[in-house]
Amino acid sequence: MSAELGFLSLLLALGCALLQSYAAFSKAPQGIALAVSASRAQAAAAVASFLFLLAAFAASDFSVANVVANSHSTKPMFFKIAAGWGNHEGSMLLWALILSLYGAFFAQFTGRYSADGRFAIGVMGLLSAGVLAFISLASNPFWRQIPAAIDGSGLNPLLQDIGLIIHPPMLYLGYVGFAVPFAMAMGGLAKGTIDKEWALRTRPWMLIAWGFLTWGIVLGSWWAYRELGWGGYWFWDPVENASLLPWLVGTALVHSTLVLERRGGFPGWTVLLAIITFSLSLIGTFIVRSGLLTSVHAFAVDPARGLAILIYLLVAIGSAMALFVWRAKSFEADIHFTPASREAMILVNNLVMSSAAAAVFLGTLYPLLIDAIGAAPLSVGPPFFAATAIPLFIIGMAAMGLAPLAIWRKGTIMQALGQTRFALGVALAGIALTIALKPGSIMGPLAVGAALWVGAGTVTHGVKQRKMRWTLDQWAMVLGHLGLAIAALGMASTALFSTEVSQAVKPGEIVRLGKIHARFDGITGVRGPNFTAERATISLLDESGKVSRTLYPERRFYPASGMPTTEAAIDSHFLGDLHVTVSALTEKDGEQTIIKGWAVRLFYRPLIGWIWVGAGLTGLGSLIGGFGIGWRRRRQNQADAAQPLGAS
Amino acid sequence: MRALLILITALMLGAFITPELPLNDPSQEARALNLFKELRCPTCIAQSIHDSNADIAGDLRVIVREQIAQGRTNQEIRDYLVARYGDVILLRPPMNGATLPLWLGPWLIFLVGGGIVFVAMRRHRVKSD
Repeated sequence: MSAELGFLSLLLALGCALLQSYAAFSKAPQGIALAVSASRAQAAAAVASFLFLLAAFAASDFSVANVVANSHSTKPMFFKIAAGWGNHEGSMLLWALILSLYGAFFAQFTGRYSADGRFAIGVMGLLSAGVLAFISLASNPFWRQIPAAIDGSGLNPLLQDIGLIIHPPMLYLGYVGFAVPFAMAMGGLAKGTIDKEWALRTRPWMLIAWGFLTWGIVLGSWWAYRELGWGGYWFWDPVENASLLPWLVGTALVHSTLVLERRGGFPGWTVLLAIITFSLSLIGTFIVRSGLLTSVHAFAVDPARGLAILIYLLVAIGSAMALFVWRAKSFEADIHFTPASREAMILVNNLVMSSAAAAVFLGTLYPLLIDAIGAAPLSVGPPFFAATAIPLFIIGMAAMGLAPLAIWRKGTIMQALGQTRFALGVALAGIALTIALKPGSIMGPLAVGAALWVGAGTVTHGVKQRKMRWTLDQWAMVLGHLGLAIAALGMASTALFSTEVSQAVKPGEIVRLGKIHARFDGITGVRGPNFTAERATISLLDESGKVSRTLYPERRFYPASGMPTTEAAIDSHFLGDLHVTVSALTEKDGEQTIIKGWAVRLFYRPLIGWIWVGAGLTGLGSLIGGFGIGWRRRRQNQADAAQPLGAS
Repeated sequence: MRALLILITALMLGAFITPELPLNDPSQEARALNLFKELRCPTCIAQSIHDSNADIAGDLRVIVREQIAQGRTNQEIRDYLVARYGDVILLRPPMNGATLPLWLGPWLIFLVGGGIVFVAMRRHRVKSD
C-alpha cells in the first residue's frame, strides 16, 4: 500500500505547488495567504511521499521496482532505509522534498511580507511543480513490478557508507537552497526592488544554502578519502566539480550581496550571481543525473531523463536570464570607493571566484567538447586544475587577509597595511619555513603563506574588536575565514609533505615510513553482514618495539554485486593521518585467480584532517550567520509589512 | 627458439607475479610517484594510476618504474605512453592550439574583469573629485 500512498502524496504535492504559484501571482489580496498555506501543504505532502518511499525500503517490498534495483534483504536495516535516497528516483524525490521545505519556510518567514517576496513564492511554486511533474511522469520511485522479485539486486558497496548517506541530503540542502535567492532575484527584477532591503531579506537564505553546500562538499570529500582509491580527498572528478561550481559562484554571491546591503552597490551583478549560482546547481544535478559525465559518484544513467531535466533547466535559467536582460539596466547604482576599501577587496574575491569557476567549468566540459568536434581525445585532470586554480586562490587569499581590516568606502593601503604587521610576519615565516623544508616548490610556500596570512589577518581583526559586542555577521566572517585558513593549511601541507611506501610482505615483516614502523601480522578471513573480507592485522610499533596500536585494513567482497573493494584503515591524529591499505598479489592460472602474497601500502598525510575540520568550521560560520540573522530579520520583515505600503 | 620461448614465458610470468616494488633509489621512487599522479588510468573514470587499484594501473606503474630505472627522463616516459595511448593518458593536457582556450580562458576572464573594474573605479574617482 505504501507505494500507492506515496504516489498519491506526490500528486497532491504537485497540485499544491501549482496552487501556490497561481495564488502568489494572482492580484487578489487574499492570494498571499492562500499561497503560504499551499506551500505548507505542498511540503507536508512531499514529506509524506518521501516517508512512504522509505517505508517500502524498510519493509523490503520487492514488488516495488526501485526497491528491487537498489536494496537487498541481507542489508542492515540502516542501509536499507538509506538506500531509499541512494538511487536516482529516490534522490530526485529528496531534491523535490527539500525544495518544498525551503519554499514553505521562505513563504512563512520572508516571502509573505513583501511584493518581491510574493513573486518569489510564485517562482518557488513553479520550480517545485516542474520537478514534481518530472518525478511523477519520468522518474517514479513507486512503480510496481509484477510479479514481485524474490530478492533485491543490492547496491554499489561503495555507497554503503555513513559518509555517503548523509552527504547527498546535505549537498541538496545547499544546491536547492540557492533556489530562494534565485526566486528572490526574479521577484526583485520583476518588482524593481533590487536594493539594500532586498539584500537584507535575501542574504540569510544565501548564507544558509552556502553553509549547507560547504558541509555537503566536505562530507563528499571525506567519503572519497575513506572509501575510494588510496586516500585522496579530492579527485577533480566531474561530479565533484559540479558541486564546486555553485560553491565558487555562491561564494562570490554572499560577498557581493554584502556590498549591496551596506552600500547599495553592485545590484545588477549580485542578481546575476544569484541566477548563475542556482543555474549551476541545476546543471550540477543535470550532470550527475543525465549520465552526460560519468563519475564514481553518479548512480543511474538515462538519456531520456537527462533530456527532461535539460528542458526544465533551460526553461528555469532561460526565463530568469530573459528577465535579467530586460530589467537589469534599471538597477545601475553609482557607488564610490577607493582601491584599498572593503568593496575593492570583495571585488577581488568576486573576480577570483568567477575565474576559478570558469577554470573548473572549462576543465570539466573541455574533454566533451573535444570529443564532440572529433579531435583526438584528451583528459583534464588534477594537474590542470591545480596549475590554474591554486594561483587564483592565492591572489584571492591575499585580498581575503586584508578585507576584514580594510574599511568601507575610503580604506587606504596605508590604513590596511598598518594593521598587518603581525599577519605579514607570520606569513613570511611560513613561507621561509616551507622553502627550507621543501626546496624547489614555488606554489607550495606561497599557499602556506596565503593560508597563514588569512588566518593571522582574521585573528588581528578579532583582537582589535575584542572589546566590542560582535554582530552575527562578524561571527560568520571570523569563523568562515579562520576555517578556510585552517583548511588551506591542511591542503598545502598534504600536497607538500605526504609520504608513502608500498611493499610486498610476509607475516612478521616490518614496513618503514619515516618514523612509522608497521608490522604485518598476517591475514584472517572475516564475514560481515553482507560481505566477506580478508582482514590484515597491522601492528604499529613505537620506538622500543612495543605495539602501540593495531590497524585492520580489509579487502572486501560483496557477493550481491560481485565487486571487491579496498577498505583502508586510518589512524587519525591531530597532526596527520596514517592510511593503511592491503592488496593481494595475484596470479591467473586459467580461470582461477591465485593469491600469491600480500602487499601493504602506507601513506602519511600531515594535517589532512584540518581540511575537513577547517571547511566544516567555515560552513558552521555561514549557517550561524544565516539562521541567526534570518531569525532576527523575521521580526523586521513583519514590521515592514505592517507599514501602509505592505498592506495595500 | 624453443628455449627462447620458454625464457619469454618465464619472464612474462615473472612480470605478472612481481609485486609492485618501490625503486631502490628514493629520489627515483619519488619521481615515479609524482609521475603516477600525472598519468590517467585508461580504464578508470577520472583517476590517476597513482590512485587507482585497477590492474592496468598496476601494469603502468610497473612500466613507469622500469623506465625510470633504465634512466629515461620524465618527458621520454610521457612520450612513450602518449605514443601508445594518445594524449588522453596525460591528466595535464598539453598546451597547443586545441587547448589554448582551456589554459588561457580563466586568466582572460580574470584580466578582462579586472580591467573593467579598474577602469570603472578610476572613472568613479574622477567623478567624486
